[in-house]
Amino acid sequence: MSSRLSAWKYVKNNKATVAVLVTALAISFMAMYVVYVLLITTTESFETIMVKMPQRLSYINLGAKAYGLNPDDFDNNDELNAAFEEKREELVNKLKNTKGIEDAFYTQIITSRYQAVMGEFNFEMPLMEADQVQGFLDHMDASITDGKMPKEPGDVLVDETIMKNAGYKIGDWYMEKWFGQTFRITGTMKSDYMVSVGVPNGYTNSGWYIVVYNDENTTDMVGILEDNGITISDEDEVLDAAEYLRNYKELCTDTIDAVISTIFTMIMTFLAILVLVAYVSFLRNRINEYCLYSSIGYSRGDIYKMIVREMLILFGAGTLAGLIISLGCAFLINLSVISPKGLVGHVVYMNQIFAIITTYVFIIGVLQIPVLLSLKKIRTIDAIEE
Amino acid sequence: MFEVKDICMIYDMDTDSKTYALKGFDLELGDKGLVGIIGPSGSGKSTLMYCLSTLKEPTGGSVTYNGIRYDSISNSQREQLRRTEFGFIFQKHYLVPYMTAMDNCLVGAVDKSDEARKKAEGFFEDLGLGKKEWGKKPAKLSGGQCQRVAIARAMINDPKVIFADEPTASLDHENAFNVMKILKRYSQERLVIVVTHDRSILQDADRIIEMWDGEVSR
Repeated sequence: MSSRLSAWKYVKNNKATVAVLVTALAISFMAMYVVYVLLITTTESFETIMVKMPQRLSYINLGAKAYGLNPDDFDNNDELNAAFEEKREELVNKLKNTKGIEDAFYTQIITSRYQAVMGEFNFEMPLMEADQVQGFLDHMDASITDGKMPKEPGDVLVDETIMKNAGYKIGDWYMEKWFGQTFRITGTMKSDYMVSVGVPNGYTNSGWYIVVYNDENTTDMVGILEDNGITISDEDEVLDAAEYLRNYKELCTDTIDAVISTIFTMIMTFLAILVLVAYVSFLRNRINEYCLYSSIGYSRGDIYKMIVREMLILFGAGTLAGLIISLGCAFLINLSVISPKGLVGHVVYMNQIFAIITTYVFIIGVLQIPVLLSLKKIRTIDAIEE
Repeated sequence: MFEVKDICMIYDMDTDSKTYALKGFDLELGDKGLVGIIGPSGSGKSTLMYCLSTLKEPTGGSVTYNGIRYDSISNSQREQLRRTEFGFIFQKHYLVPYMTAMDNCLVGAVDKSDEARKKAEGFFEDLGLGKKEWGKKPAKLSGGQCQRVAIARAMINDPKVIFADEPTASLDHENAFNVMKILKRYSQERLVIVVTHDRSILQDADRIIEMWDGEVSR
């Protein structure tokens, strides 16, 4: 049979019903996409600090036991400290001579802070003598973009992303809420690793660490230390790529993935129920129409194909509208929230678009149940009239 | 065209209170003319029409259309017959409420080309359905207009047989007369079977089959 039942007729002649369904699908699409954009921004923003930065920079803080020193073997603390410093200096030299490590030195660090849409991350920022700063910049592929290099005690050079994130200007006190008027921002810099650096002024925040300028092949600091005769225990702190990555997964990706999954499931369940209820009513209202088609010679297959085509038009329109609105919203969010805050975000997330479309396909699959049940109820008009 | 042999239709076959709608009779119908099937409610006239049109399967006997025995063909072949050879006018018009008069007429068309549309326009003009009515939905049409759309829908594929079940039941006298005039005209070349309990509309019938209690009485 060359002719078939047109799916467009219903769509064209029931604009209000179609608009409600298409809008519900589009809004659900947008809700799932926008929530994803807002939350994934946190993961993406923290990735630079927690995954990329440790590829170039590690921090080590070891106790006496790690060096094989037993306090009971020393008559007093001065002797212990002298031995401790000697061992530490020995380790720093060994690290400096390790292939792939550009430099290592013992210095003070302070806490830096980066706030995302959801949550914040406190991370380490080294303080060093003014003449060491250029070496730090070179190692981190960073360049000064505004202001001047830190020269005096308390001067800090801050990554421009952090500047944006916290709303700093050159001349502002850095982390004033936590450190008071201690560190003054003298300039901004740009690097791929979102690092900042300053000159110590006697203020102690996070203590003293061995700062290691490593490369991608020397990120396993625990392994390197063990190769150098160091025994790591729970008292020691080794902030290397593995440790940052562990924190990144535990504090960031796992949590946010769980939140995204929960919200996604809730919206999808709500939408699936809504669409299912709407469709059952929609099919029930049209049963006489299907009976007419059956009576005048259309097969159940013809009717089923028409229903599926109508469904595909509705879902197609809902998906397309949802995609356009979602990308528009993501663009505006990037423009008004993410970018001004120095956060990392994108407009297009193909994996999320694919996930939403897959779920819509799943809902279409579920809708086949009421459709097939309705087809079973189709009788010819003689049965209705009796 | 139709050959009915010992046709039987029993409802509630599995129960003790069986209802005999058709009690086993023979019937032959030619390939043109206006045939009226008349009888009171429950006489089996509608059941006979539905059996002739493949909508119902008799519980006994056989129906043969142009050499095709219905009990020897598949469901899809029956659908094919209804689609291409038969046209239907039901007691209620059963127009699709969201479609225009024109779309309702074309919904049954085997060929949905512009030619079908032109044919539908011709039918509408013949049936006295004004141009401004063509784009209206059933809710905006009168009962008579709706029934005329249903008649145009039944004729759109030039079927060899039109089955009309109480086609004038919801119409006033004038509209009923007009509908019968159209069916009479169609019956000059094809077969039109009209089921009714109203003898007055069958004045121009070529043949009247009277039914009583599941049997052909005359």
